[in-house]
Amino acid sequence: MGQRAGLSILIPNWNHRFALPRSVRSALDGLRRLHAHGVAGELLVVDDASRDGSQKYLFNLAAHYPDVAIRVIWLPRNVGLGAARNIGLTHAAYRHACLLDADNALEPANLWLFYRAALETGAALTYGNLFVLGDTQPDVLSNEPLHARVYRQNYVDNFALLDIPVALAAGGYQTTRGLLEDWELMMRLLARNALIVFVPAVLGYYYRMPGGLHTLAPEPLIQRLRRIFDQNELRSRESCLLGRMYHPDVGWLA
Amino acid sequence: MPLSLQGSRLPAMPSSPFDLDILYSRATDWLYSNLAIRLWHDLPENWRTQTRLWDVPDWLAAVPAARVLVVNWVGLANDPRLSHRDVTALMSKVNSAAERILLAAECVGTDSFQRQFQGPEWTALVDIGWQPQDLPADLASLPYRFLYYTPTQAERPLLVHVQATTAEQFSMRPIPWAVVGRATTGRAALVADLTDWEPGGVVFLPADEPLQIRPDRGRLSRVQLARLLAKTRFYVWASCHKFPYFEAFRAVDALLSGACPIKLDARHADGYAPLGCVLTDVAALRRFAATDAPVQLIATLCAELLARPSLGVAFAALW
Repeated sequence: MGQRAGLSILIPNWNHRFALPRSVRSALDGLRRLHAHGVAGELLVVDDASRDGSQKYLFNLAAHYPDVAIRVIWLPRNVGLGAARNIGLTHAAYRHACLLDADNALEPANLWLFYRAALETGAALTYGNLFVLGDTQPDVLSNEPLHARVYRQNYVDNFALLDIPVALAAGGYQTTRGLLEDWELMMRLLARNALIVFVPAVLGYYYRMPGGLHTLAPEPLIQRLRRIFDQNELRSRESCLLGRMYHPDVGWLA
Repeated sequence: MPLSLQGSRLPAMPSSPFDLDILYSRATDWLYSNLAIRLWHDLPENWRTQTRLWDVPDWLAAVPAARVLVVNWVGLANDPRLSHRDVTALMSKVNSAAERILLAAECVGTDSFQRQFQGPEWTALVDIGWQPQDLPADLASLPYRFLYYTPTQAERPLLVHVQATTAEQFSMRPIPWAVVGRATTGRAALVADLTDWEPGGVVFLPADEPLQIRPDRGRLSRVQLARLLAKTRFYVWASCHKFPYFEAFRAVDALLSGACPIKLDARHADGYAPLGCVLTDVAALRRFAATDAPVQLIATLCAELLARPSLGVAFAALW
């Protein structure tokens, strides 16, 4: 695990060969812009034993883009999203990670803004607006500071910047399949009073596709997670504003 | 508000010597509570001594003045500190005043406008905004007064300062545009277009929580909005409805912070052409932004506002 200042863009991939060029291009563009500001960075892809030819594309990445540090971790067997992310976090060269799913894309021009916000606030998790694209009405996700309604349903996507040591100290992502690992980590960070910051700018683009993992959590699972975290007295924060809002050019906004 | 005039500290009186009570809710959207407070502060001296400003729960226990000005009835009726019984008592008490004036900044035709009339029987409407509106037929008999929304006397030096903004100062602002409001499909599409033009804009489109525009709900306060707009070139918005309307509050908020107000409204832009800040779409904004027109527009709008009386003086002149 790296503690060096900088940003690792982490793309876990499983059978997303068709979408990888889009996410990878956006990540490389973002890293180049960070580099122009003197920030070190890398693209780290964790391939979770894909069977769709992703490897062929990934093998050649570093050769195609020699100006950017690119690494690929090949997992010999499929371990699931949470575990793949944890492997990425433990192998990242830098202190901060931008979690980018293989089917989404960054807004490269704003990566510097989000990285600044993460550094200036010391947030454990820094997120911003995501445009929902695809066969759907225009929509925005992850669009406000964290409210207590996050205990009932997660409305902040995992597409965000993480402070890796803080995330790993909180236990990283849950590796039990089907346990809503994004939400579970968010709850664990909240239980540890970690700072979660919303930046009112566009972080990226979220593509809704058939079969994507973006459905609402099933009620029994919600109840289970709530029961777990009620023991940490999160219920007492029901009506509270839990997160904060910050913009590097303006300062604190909530 | 000076303590001597704070409603809850006034002794009970058999009949109130005050001519006017201004009622607002401190516990719902800040926009209207801020308007009520600024209006009261900006009243001419002889008016202010005859006028009391009330946060609504305090007024329930007071002897009312003969004239009552309710700033945003919907906010009062939904004040979380009031029970259903309190709201019934409030309605009855407002109705007992000889003159019951509603002050609202809502677009005719919208639900928000209509809901203002689901309460006391108003004897007059003060419509505050940029341009007068035609009332619907069912309200045609209600006396209508239009109050041009201008800054207060205390805010006027800010406008004078903004009026002198140079093109160079304007271009130095780090945030190209800001869109603030509740999330709607139309606004999401607008922001997508704006991001294609300049990705670094500020987007704050939280979920709709009616009557909850307060900092403790994670919304921007007026001060925070001003801080944001002071770093922004274009404060852009689009209506959530189909009616022709120009949101004066947004325009004045932008100008007080030196930002250029821009409404995007393809349906009605032609009708608002003389105003200069209602454009059809983002493509039109891009063309507009590439010239010196924004700085000229800011200067023109500031001059227009400064040529008018301040908020409280204009209000007093209505009567």
